[in-house]
Amino acid sequence: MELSAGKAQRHTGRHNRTLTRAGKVMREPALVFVVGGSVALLVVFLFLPLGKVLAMPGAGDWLSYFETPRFVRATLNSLFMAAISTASATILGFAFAYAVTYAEVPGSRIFRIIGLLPLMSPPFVTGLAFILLFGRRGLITWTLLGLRPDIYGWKGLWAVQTFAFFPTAYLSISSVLKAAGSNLEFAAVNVGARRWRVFRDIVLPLATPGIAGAALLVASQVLADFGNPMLIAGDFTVLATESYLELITNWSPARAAVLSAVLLVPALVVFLVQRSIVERRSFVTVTGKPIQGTRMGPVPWLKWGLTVFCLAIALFVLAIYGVVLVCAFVKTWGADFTLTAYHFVMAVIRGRELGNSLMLSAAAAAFSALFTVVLAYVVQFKQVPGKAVLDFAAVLPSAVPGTVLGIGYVLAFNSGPLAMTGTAFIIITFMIFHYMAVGYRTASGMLKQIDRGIEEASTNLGAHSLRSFWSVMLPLMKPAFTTGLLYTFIRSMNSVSGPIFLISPTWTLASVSIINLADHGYWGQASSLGVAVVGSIFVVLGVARFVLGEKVRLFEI
Amino acid sequence: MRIARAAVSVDLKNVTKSFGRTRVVDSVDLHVEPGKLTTLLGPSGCGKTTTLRMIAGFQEPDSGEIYIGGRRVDVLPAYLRNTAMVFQDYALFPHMSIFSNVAYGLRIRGVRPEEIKKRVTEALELVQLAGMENRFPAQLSGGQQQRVALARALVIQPDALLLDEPLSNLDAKLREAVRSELRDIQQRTGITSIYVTHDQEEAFSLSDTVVVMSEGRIQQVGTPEDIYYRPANRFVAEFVGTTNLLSAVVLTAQREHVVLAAAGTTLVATSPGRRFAPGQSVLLTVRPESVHIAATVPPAGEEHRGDPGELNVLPCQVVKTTFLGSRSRHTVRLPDGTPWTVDVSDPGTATMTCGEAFVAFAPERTHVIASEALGGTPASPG
Ligand SMILES: Nc1ncnc2c1ncn2[C@@H]1O[C@H](COP(=O)(O)OP(=O)(O)O)[C@@H](O)[C@H]1O
Ligand SMILES: [Mg+2]
Repeated sequence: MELSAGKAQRHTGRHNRTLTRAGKVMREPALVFVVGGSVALLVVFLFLPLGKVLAMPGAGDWLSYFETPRFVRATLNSLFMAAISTASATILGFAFAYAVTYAEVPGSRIFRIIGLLPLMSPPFVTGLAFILLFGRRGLITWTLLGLRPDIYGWKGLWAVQTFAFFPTAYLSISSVLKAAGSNLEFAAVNVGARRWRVFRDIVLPLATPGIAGAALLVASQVLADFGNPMLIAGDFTVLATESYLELITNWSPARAAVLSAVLLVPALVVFLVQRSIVERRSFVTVTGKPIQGTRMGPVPWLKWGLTVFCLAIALFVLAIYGVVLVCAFVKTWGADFTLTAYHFVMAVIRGRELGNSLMLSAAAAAFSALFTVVLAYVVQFKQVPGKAVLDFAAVLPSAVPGTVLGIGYVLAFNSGPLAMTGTAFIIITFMIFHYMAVGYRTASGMLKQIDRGIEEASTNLGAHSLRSFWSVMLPLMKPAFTTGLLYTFIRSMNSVSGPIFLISPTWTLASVSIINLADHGYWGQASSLGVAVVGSIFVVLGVARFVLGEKVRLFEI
Repeated sequence: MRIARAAVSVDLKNVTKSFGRTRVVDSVDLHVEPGKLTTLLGPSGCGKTTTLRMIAGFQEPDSGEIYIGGRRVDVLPAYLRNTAMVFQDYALFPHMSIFSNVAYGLRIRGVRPEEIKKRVTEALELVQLAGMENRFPAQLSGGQQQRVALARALVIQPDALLLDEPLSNLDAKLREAVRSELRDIQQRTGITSIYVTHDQEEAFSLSDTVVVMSEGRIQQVGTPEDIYYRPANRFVAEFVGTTNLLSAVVLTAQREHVVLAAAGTTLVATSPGRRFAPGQSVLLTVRPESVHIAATVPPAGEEHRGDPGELNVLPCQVVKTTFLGSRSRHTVRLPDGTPWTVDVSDPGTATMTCGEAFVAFAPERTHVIASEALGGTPASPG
């Protein structure tokens, strides 16, 4: 009530400003330039490729979708995987979040860090590790047990995706459980509720919107996942891999576009539902008071159970990195475990891939961070026409699977005035626009909390828009800038689904090479590159933390 | 509302609680009368909330015992203590309707649905929220949410009602209205209540008994009048309202009357229930509104100075006068340099001018406290 009253006031306040500001916009050439430029960039590098995906196929191509059982099966497979992997990853993520954030089991601090590690490395490292552990020459299945099971298929993919994406669920649910006010739980206990009822009646209902939001986030990642299906799904095709086959193997851009468009549908639905849930998630924060005193944790036996569970997960995560690391430096995985630097030298030192990845990702990160901060500033602080559209456009890319955007780039920039396939530029722009949403959301969230008065005071003292942006707003937004920078960098380093369409002999990337090497059974070299990618991300994060001298808040969704 | 149980007392015996190295609650002994409203009054951070939470069972005392109605409860889990807390932030369940909020405790107790309906309706009527059953907390104003929280607490017929600064999130006007309503409901239901606040006006207007706390220790227990006019030590005197202090030495002490030497003259004070020895250094306290000020010496005061029942008179220098509407406030300096504050109610246009004057105050309003507290730290309860 008080909240909404305040909001209403602010709205009318903004309204009044519109009148005065609308005139001002035109009088500020710098602002016009920035707004015009941003719109042009979004149109060319986001809407044009997406438009191409939708516009390119003819009626016959659309019909072919229904006439080709392969396509329908891939669609069903995609939806099926999204459903089961989301369910399992969310349950795992919830249990993990409950254990380390809420119940605070012994060792929570370490578990928290380990739980976040997978977010900073490519999802397909999990797939790679699974093959190394449980595959035909797997450490556990073959070397230790002498089994030769077939993990290639939907079950293998399910297991891999569960592990690859539970950290997303964990992180997102964690932030909700943190916000749950303990006074509410005390109030319930106070009128007679025991732990289980407190959990059932208070904690769970309050966390439900957050859990749903987390599940949808996971769902969108599962739908878009390309690396793991490529590595481990075998004959079980999903839309992302099927559209890759259509474009690269069968060279049928139109049918690839059709499959992309089909994949876009569930992805957008998930995105829109998630957005509306997050926006409606109001009541948790309304009564949110900082927690004082101890929480109503679980009963001891459950707490110990959860500790064992976390320990198992943590060990497994560490095992994933461990086997990849070992595999990078032994002669032949599963047969000859003598140490060698051969694979590492071949894949990392001799190859150009890592250098390319670092260079292009860094360039993309720098531009993306700057662009999103400027865009957020313009949308939040300036009365520009159509700001709701701009706002939506800025977060839309997070909903678009990399495959879809990648195919869109191929279609849009293959020929004509904007022909740039084969260049580094196409890869960089793809990275900038595909991963801009997090930087943008962080920046605009931050701007919403900055008092307009600060900027107005500066304008009042005679600084015009551009000046007050540089001198006042930009320093304040440094944390948002670094978040955008690091996030885009990490995601670009790990990105496969889009770049796999955009690389050229000159411009290959480490992430794509890992998939290709693994696909051809070069486990040692694939692992070496994987170690190099993960290692360089950690080095960059460490340096960033050291240089910026602040806690880099990266994965707060 | 029908109260099934007889009102019971709440007792704390030597309760201590530390967070890390700091003793937040230090050897607290407290007896709360059945059916009465007792207030814990003290500055922020003095351990009031912690005390209340220990009674409710949200925090465990390090040592000491807690009894409710003679039954030891500090060994019981919170859900078995039958206390009901009204939280500062109300802590209403945001995902439940008002009805469900109030009914929650009854549902947990397995009360039959018809009975629940009846009792919830009664409780909501008691707090004047009948008809709001189907709304949600976010749709109510702060004052209404506050009353839902109260209904939720009352409906389970608790042995003790615990209120932690329940009015502090309301605006000043509403606070006064809800305050008297609260007092009214407490008296009608007759539930033993412990109320926490840092606001002395709130404490005085609501309480049967006020317990003043500072740094985890109880400084004084008494009626609001006791606390105000007969503070036990310097901390209480200064924390509760504005006060005037003056160092003095005891000349004679007979029963209630204490004759003092102070500021170059003899003064008389009353001190029921306290013993002072001749020669002892003490502090004298008088409230600003108990002091009269005049440009000339009152005729009666001069000759009988020092006699019980008559006015104490001191010469002074008026330093500053401020007109405040309903009263005017004077800052004066006593002969020994001590600054005092004197309030004159209904001042009209006859304000004092700066310069020589006299202050007078009745022995019944003049109170003596031990002066070991002069150094600043409050004395331990005497
Ligand atoms: N859970 C806790 N952990 C550590 N310190 C606490 C905790 N709860 C309260 N404190 C500290 O104990 C002191 C007393 O707190 P509290 O009882 O809330 O005071 P009051 O209610 O009188 O303002 C404060 O200094 C506070 O910071
Ligand atoms: Mg408090």
